[in-house]
Amino acid sequence: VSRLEPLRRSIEIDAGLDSLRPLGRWIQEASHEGGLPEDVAAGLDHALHEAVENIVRYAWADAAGHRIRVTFRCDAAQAEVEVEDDGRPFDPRLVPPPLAPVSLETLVPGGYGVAMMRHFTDEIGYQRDGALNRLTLRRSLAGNLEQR
Amino acid sequence: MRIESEEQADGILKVSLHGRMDIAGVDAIAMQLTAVTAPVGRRVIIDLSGVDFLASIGVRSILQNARAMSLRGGALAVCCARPVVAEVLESAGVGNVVPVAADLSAARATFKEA
Repeated sequence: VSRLEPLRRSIEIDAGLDSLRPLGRWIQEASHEGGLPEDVAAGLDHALHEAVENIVRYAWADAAGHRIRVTFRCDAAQAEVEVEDDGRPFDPRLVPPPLAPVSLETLVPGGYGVAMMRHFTDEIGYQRDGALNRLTLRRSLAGNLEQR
Repeated sequence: MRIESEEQADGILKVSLHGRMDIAGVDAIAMQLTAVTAPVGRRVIIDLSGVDFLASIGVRSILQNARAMSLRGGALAVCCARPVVAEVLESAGVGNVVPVAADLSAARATFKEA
């Protein structure tokens, strides 16, 4: 764990739930190749999974035939995953945090995906660029990884 | 994903999950997990030590089972999560409603407190 040479990898996937497993393997390999610490790699895997699952489920009335482009970049300072889709505009930063559950009886499960995206990143970026959504999940590699 | 259940001497059922608990993973174990937690008054500890990835759908599955068990007078606790899985549980506030224990004996102790 140490190389942290600048690295850029890109993949395009079908917008379907079946793409999530291969995408997970891809981000793990890219993280490994980039020399990311294991906890950072596992966190990015989780954040990316939730981001792409949301897109597949909600970006289009029918996701069939659409594609999602994912780009991984890292250097010594940070790791970043960018996700591009041509679905309806959606800025996950505007989703309010879910209410913390208080009892099993009153529990309404849901909203955990965006909470996980926030938890495992230091910064979430979003831009609408023409017909594209461009989401970035950024994790700093400086300093306090151990304390997270 | 794989599921194994093991009856403990004190009437508690330990359910060990293995693999990636994403949509495909939850699909693979959902029926069996519901079946082993179904009996009235059942006390179950889910051992997450074999789970290396917990998606939001996996969180939902744990909470839905916990709620169903609670309605039938049973109880669910989880234990032994790896660091990243423990972080997922924390980000969803699971510990507010389901005991999250570091190990099996701490999970067992949560049933005695209740």
